[in-house]
Amino acid sequence: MSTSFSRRNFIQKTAAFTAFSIIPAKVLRSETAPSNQLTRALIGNGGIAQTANHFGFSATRLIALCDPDAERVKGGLARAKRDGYGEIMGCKDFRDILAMKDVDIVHICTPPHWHGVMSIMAAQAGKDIWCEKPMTRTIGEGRRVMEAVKANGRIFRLNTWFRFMGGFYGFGTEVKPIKKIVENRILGWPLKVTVGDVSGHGWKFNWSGQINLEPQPIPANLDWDLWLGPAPYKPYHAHRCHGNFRGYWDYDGGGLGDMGQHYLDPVQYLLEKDDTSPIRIDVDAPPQHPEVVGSFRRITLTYADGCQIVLDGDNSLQRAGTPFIEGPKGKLWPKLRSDVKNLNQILADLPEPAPQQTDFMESIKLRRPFALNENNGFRSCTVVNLALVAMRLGRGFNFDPVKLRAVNDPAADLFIDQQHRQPWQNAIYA
Amino acid sequence: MKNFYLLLASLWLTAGVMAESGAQWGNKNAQELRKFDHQHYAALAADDAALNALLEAAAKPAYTADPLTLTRLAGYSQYVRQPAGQAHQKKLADKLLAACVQASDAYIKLCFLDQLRWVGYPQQSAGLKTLAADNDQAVAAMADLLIRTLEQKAEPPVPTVTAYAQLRQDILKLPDAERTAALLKAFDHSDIGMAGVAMALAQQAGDAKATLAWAQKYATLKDPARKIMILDMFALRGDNNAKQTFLAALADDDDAVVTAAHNAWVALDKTSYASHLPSILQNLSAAQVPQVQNAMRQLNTSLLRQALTYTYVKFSPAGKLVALTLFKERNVAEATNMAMQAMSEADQNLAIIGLQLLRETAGPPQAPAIIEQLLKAQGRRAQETQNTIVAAAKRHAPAYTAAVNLAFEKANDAHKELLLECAARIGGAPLLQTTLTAATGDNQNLATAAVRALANWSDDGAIPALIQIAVHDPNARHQKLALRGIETIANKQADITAKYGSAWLNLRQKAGGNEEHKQKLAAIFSGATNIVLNKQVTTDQPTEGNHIPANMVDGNVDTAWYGGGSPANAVIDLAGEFTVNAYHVIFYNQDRRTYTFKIELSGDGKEWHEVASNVADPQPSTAEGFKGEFPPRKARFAKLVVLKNSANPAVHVQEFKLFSEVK
Repeated sequence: MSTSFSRRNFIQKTAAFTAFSIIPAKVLRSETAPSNQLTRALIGNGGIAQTANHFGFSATRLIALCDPDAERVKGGLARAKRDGYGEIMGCKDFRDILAMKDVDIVHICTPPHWHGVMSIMAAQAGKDIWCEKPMTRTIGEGRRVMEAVKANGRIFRLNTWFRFMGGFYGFGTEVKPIKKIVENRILGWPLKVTVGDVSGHGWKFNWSGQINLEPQPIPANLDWDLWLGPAPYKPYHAHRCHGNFRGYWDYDGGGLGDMGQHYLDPVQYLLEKDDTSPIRIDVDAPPQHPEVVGSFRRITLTYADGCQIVLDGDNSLQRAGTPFIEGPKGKLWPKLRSDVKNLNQILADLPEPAPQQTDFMESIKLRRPFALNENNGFRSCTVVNLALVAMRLGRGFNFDPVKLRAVNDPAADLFIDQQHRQPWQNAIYA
Repeated sequence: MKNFYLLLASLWLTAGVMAESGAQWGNKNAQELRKFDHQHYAALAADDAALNALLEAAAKPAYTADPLTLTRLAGYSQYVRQPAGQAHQKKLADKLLAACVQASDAYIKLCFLDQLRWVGYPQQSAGLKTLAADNDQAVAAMADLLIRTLEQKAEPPVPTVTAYAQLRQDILKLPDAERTAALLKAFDHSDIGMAGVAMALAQQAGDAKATLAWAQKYATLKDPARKIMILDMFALRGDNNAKQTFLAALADDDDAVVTAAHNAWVALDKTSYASHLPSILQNLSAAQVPQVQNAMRQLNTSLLRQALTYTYVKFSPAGKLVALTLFKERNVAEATNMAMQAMSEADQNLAIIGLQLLRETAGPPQAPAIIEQLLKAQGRRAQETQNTIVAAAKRHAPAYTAAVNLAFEKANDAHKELLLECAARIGGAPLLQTTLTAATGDNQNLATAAVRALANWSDDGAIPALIQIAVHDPNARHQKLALRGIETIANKQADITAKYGSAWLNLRQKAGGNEEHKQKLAAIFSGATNIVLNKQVTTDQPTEGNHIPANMVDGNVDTAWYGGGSPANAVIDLAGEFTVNAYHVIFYNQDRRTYTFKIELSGDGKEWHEVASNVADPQPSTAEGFKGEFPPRKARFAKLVVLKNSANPAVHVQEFKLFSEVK
């Protein structure tokens, strides 16, 4: 007797079996290093690296860090001492980190134009990966990350968490009760989710760069060529670099690129779209400056089954109570306000959503996919990247969620899968 | 939006130049930018001079070209990639390339090369190759990037850098028949990462033979982590042949393996897991409760009902506990029935959980049975039963009060004492009556129990009876219990004098009784007592709106009696005789108006004696109102006469108080 498993079936099972409960340390101890602790290295030591999930993460031992800015390496080594890690390795080039055999996990804390290349190279170097959001700057890079992680049997964690922890931006509640409502079809199907800046971290929602930047001398402590890496070589300006790079198309996608995956990943999870992407993207935005990310009024992403995500860029829908979820049977507003009668009673009678694997150490030690991994992370990052492609094109387009290409639209494809400056293009395809 | 502009301001400062935000600029120039549509670009394509002018305008050193010009050029670069503009792609590319080659400023070259990326033609031209060899690092790098940008060459295969990737590729090359053996071997690798690669491949497919092989492997394993990996793998590939392994895992000594087995099975097949639940719950230990509970919560209510309702009686106490808890969470009606069974179970823990559930779910129909259980129970179970009755009575007071009263009628003395204890915790008038009857009955033991109940009464309704007992009950023990009860309430309740001072005054005037207790009660009920509080009021003027007469004696200055005319008489029945010596009256006081009034007292409601008035010298009404004292006078009735309002014919009394000083 033979049992066959279709891809779809597999993905559904994977989605449902995101698992489990915390496994006691005694189960895992047999696999740990002599020090009984996994090791980590930080790639990039800017602002985001200083947070609790990277520098401040205490479940693994920090043994190395790198940054193309010598001042940041210096600062990192000093903090490592203060934090009790002693003398750790500090360097400029992340390839030196990847070559270290005793590094188990790399934390990628760089600007987004590096995320894809570094994740791929880290997977090829046999490292497990904890990567900042957005997962990649282009859809093409994301696809390669998925392939590389899978090929090398690596565990990948994307650094967003709202689908399983913390409040869903602007919704005044965790995602879990909303998931319960949605997966039990209380609102019907298909659903439309509308988010505005309240769900998009307000002040960052329309993050933009600056036009008319006159080139500046490169600071002595910075390897600008390495900072740019796979991005086109452009003249140095402080505003393009640390802290403000998000406003430039070469490195990120403005506020949407920066925070979009935080608030759209829960939406994708709610809409059960962890294994697919929108097929149609419509946009209402002013023509974009070729260098600098501008703003948008409305972006609508539509899935094959009719589910939609609406990004309210000018807050014109704020009066309707953004964020909200609407379906043929009802509507849900923040704090679980709804036009569905007796919602609380209905909720009490519903099964809980499947729990998720949320202990990264356990994921690594049992080789279980983390709750937010290279596959579902790729899909939610693709939602963001499709919206950004539409902004740059200044028009709508159709997308094939299987081939991961635009449908008969070479102009869109150029943004979907951009080439990298050498040697990085060869490094990830070599 | 304000924050957004603050941010922009901070960005400017960071940059150190007077640059402009792209978003701000976009909004400012929205009207101009909207002109860059297909029609505009079609016209540009047809106008060579205009295109040349555009390129010339864009060719400014050091990225200083007008942003509108650059955006217009970028839009045109997009346009020539679309069907409508495709015919002009080559022309634009040639012009951009020529402008690039001719430009003396490296930044102009960079600007045009960046546009050429999106125009995408002619990437293999000699001109571009020349630029790729440019001395300027940035220009060369950009030209090199552009040369490759549109190359649609086939992507090379995934590299085999790591042992993990090599293992994966090696196994994928194997025919299906040999794959399982290779995976089993890889799974044994000391590096768990290699085992992980094997699991990732194994979870994609597998036949019954493979399942058997993995089940046999599982049986040989000692490491819980590796066992869990196989369980995960079975679940992830939806392997319905793996149930024997799940059953074995459920009996594992290691809690983590058992947990993983529950979660894997429920993820694999909810119906199958639910059908096995009765056997799981029959032998469930208390330590395993959290493991099974998490998995069960993922089942829908219908599956839970089917699995648990009829098999519940066979479950272990822990199994029953899990079932009860889940049913309670889901508001399943059967939870109440199960809890009713549980409360009489031999297992005390289960009985207690049942009783605790009933605190929230028991309704009127369950009242007699739970009260019957109270009469059978002992120790902690009796206490929990009583707690349940009290909690249920808070939601369904009439049913539980009636049931206690009914049970009391039929109960023996010992049970009556239990019921009196329960009645005290429930409180309320019907049970108070039963308790008072018992307190004054011939059965001394029962009377003592009743007095104790009154002393412990959950509300203050027993105070008048307790005052009586504390002074006049023939049994000294009862007197002490009653006094202690009053003292307990007085310690908790600040308004006891205001509320029950009149009851004390009534009793105080009677001769005899326990003088020591009288003195103690006098101390408790010391100070002035508002003897008209919440007493019956009769008026002779029509009431305006909702401003009823009772409002003037409700202790709340925010409510008032509005009488439709003056003079107006408000007569208050004091419900007993009091010695009265002070008053306080508050009228409407939002302007400078005056109310003339007088206060009269009477022993019979017919003959009245004036004790206070402001007729001779009326002062404007204030929020403090009018206070005064007069010589003590006994009264059964009081009357407030409002003679005149200086502002209009109506009368408005916010509060009227009469005091009896107790010393």
